Amino acid sequence: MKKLFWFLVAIVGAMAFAGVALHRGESINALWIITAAVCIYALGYRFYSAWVAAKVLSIDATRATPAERLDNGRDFVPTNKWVVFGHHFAAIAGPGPLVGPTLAVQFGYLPGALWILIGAVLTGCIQDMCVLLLSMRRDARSLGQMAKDELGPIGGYAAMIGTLMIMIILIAVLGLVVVNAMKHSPWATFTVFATLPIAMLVGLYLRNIRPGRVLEGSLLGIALLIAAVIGGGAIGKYPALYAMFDFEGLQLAWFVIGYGLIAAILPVWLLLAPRDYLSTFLKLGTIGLLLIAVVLVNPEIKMPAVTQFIDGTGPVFSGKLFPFLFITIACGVISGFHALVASGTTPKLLTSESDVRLIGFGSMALESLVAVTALIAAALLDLGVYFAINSSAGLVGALPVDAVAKISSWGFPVTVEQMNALAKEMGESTLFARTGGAPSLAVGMASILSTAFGQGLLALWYHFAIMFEAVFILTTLDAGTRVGRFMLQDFLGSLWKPMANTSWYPSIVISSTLVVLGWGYFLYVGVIDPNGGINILWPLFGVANQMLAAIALTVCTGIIVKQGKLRYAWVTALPLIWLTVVTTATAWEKIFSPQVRIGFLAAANDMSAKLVAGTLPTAQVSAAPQLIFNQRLDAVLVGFFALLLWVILFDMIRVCWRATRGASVLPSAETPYVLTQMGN
Amino acid sequence: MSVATIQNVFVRIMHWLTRGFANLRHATGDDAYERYVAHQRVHHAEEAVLDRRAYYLTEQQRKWTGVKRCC
Repeated sequence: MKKLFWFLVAIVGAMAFAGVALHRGESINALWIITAAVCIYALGYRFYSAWVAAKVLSIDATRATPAERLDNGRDFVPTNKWVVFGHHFAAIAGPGPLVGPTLAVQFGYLPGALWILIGAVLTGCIQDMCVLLLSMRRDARSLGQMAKDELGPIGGYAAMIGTLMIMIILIAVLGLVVVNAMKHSPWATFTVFATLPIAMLVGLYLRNIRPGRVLEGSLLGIALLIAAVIGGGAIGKYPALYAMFDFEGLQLAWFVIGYGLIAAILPVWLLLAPRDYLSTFLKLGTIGLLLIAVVLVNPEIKMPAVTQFIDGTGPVFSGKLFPFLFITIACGVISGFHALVASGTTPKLLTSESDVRLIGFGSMALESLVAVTALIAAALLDLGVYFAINSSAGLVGALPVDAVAKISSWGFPVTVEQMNALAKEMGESTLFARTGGAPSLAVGMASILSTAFGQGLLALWYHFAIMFEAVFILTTLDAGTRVGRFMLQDFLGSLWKPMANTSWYPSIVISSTLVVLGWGYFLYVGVIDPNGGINILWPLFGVANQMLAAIALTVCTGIIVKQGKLRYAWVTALPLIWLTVVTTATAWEKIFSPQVRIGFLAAANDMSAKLVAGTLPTAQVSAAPQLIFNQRLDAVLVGFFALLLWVILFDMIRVCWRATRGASVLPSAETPYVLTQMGN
Repeated sequence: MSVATIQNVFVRIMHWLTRGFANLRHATGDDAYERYVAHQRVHHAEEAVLDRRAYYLTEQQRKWTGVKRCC
């Protein structure tokens, strides 16, 4: 009976997958993609993850977990597996899987969909599951610590530097996404600003009025957030108020930078913790709602399977399908960041090693499904509309007439009237050049959600979607700045002892300022660069994230080989090789490509030549030296990421070589076996 | 339907609702303090138990000292 069931899943999955891959009609039904995704994840979970668990990781349900052995009623607590699943999923799923697929839709829906479906099962799910188990077997040690223990100091330092770097780039790019979503949108700006006092109110409630009553506080906060979304719509009626919340990108960038600095210094109970409760409820609720709505509405995807932009000339971001697709969609397929959570909070909660499949593999599969949904939401739009929203003014022209002419000339007809009508429906003044992915995703989400739950509420759903993205982007921004601060304090503490004291105020202020300056710089340049912004920052982020994933896979492969399981090492080694190829190819193109929109150095040289010749538009002259410097800095940075990866890769190969030849290597850091008392 | 059956159904529904609510509190961490107190009683009876507010604040501080949120 069971065999028959899985046989049917395989048949349905294969049919849906073939349907998606081979379809060449006018439009395709979103349900095909969802069906293919669910079947592939289910098959991957049932067979591949079970095989990896049994053969490669030798999962042993009789072995006591850190949660059982070190139970302290606080961070080490044996917890129900579904509760852990919820917590782990909420921790790993952020704005990444929403933004990446939205941007990658410029290649058509098919490349992104295939990479998400196949990549997640073979790379991301495996990474998360392996790191989770290896950390559990080492008293829930962090990735950096495991790298140091098992491979040596080089691996440890690479993981540490990689983590800090990715934090800086990630926050900058997410900050840019929020800025672009709020730019000249008083409704969105009001709503996002309102989330701050609301979160603080909830913080005070949870500390002073009803300490620790998380459910009550969150209900109150969510009611207020929804009121803020609705209230924001009224702003348009009051010109003075409207003008008060109508900001330029640069002003908003300064707001975000100032906000980041204050938020990093404030106590966590006041802003970060309460907003995280709100964002988690919103995230789980909205994702659930969106999945239900996609199934209910079953929208037609208007996007062609593949567009001409696989040749690298795309307006959303530049670069060919290979390697840029695999860098653009990182979260939702494989994300190095997950390795930090899978070796942090989560391994302290699992009751049994056998739960690793559900938590590690399962949560990642669900995140991947979120990425598929985001892809569908973006692919619903008319291509012309999609490109009008996502092409920067520097590329298609600042005037709507120029933009539609240019986009229509690519073969994607769109008119100014159509864009104005859409903007009006969404309650926005304009939707032209709203890059960053958030606005086009919000338009897609709004049209699905309003079809399913309430016609005529388009503008409300649009601003709800923007608020929903902003709330957890700001949470990531705060949390990331704090993590960066701790790492920096640790590092500065090794130079001068008092800096290591994480609660010493001067140390907090100095290190927080340094972290904020780091990401603030990239955010600032991202905003002032008329052609750049997302086009520069998103690939940098993708490379950083894939590099971190590669470091995690290096640690996994090294440990598997040290355990004498060389014949199974391909499970993590093949994804590692693939990521190394992709990361290196991207770094190579970003540094050496002669095309101005791809190569950092080409862009810098082109701009300085124009500056010298005096052919640069006057508006760009003042910012040009900064932009030129930034492009060169980015070239160094992306090269550094690739180099770091190669260094740790060779270090791992060295360790594996010695291990297979019987030479001495660092001893296994695995905690000895203890028989579980659970369920006895 | 007899009164007893209706009563029975009612009791069952109430039971499910209570259990569902307890699960929700558990999943969201709403009952963290109660669980902490129970844990302290069993494992560290000699230690002083923090009050609700102090427990909430130290927990938030601990929770946000590592990587807790991803991209």
